Amino acid sequence: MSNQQILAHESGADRWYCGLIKLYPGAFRERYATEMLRIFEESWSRVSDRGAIARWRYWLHVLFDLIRTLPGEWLAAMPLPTKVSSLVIGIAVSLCVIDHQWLTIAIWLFSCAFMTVCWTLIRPSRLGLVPSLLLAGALGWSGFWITNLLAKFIILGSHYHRTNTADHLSVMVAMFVVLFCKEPFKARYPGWTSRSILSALCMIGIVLAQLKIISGGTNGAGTQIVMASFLFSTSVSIVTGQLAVIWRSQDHVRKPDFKTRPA
Amino acid sequence: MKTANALPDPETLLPLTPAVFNILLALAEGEKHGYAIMCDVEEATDGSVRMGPGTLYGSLDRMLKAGLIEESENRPIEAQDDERRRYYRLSEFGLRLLKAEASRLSKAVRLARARKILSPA
Repeated sequence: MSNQQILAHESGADRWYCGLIKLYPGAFRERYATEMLRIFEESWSRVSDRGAIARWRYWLHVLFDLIRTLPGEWLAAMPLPTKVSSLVIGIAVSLCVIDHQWLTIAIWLFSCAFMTVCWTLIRPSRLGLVPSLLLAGALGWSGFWITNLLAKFIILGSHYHRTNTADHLSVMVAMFVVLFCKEPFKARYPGWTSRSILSALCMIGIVLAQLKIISGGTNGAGTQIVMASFLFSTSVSIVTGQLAVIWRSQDHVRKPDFKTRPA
Repeated sequence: MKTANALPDPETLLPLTPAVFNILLALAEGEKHGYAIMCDVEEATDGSVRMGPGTLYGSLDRMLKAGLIEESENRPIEAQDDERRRYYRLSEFGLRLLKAEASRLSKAVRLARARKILSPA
């Protein structure tokens, strides 16, 4: 055992740091955990002679480094649909925080994203298509219920009565349509990226919300603004996706490839 | 196997983040392990760039994937070696990128001098 290891081990710092390293994604941990621990031990041995303040400052530095790098590593380890869904969850939560009027859309988006995450996590298993879909549906629906309950009892108290069975069914139907049609649809129209499919999904949700406003369910000035912006972003996303396919097929451009390694 | 011609133009990857630039600069001196890179960066920047283990290995991981650095198989003599350490070296593409970034920064410094923001060297 080296001096650094002994110092870190005696203070228990290495055990604490080992615990913190476990927060990183598996693949990253498997590759770098040993080296990270080695670095920690060496740095710890350097600061341990300088007194308690230096040690606390080093721990703060390590914790700040962890907080700053953890989300990025998890995001990098995620497959694309989960990444997009996480982004949508983030937007949904932000909408909740910004304005209660947008809560219906936020809940809808959250449910869609939650279900997509469930689907992404379940798909690689050996469950088979139908059980996987049912499980994703059940989890997505539970997510919708949980969000509703949170919105009802925590955010708005007893004033929130906007969601009903139709909302739940619309979430389920739209998600199943997208999940079933995604692959054949993408094969037929390669310009449709996961982002544009999700945008289209959001658009369906907003149209449903709009129908609810028209039928007098809610006053939705905020909803209309969000609807317009989502319609615009979806259109831009679809048009640029299609243009990119046409452009690439003519082989006019070569996209920089970060993953290409030198010969 | 892909040829070096398939690599992107370094200019398209600029500007580099401070962490990536400083790691490349540290490795320009020769092969180093993680802790040596960290100390080198801290010393070279007078402590203004302090990387924690997460930042260092996150950057190294992305740089390995982008082909900017390579893992070295050369190990020091057994008495000085630690099997828990990995050694990294600059790739040819990494060196090209480092030169491009250094040239970009040098142009910026020249411009700052010309406009009397910096005193002449």
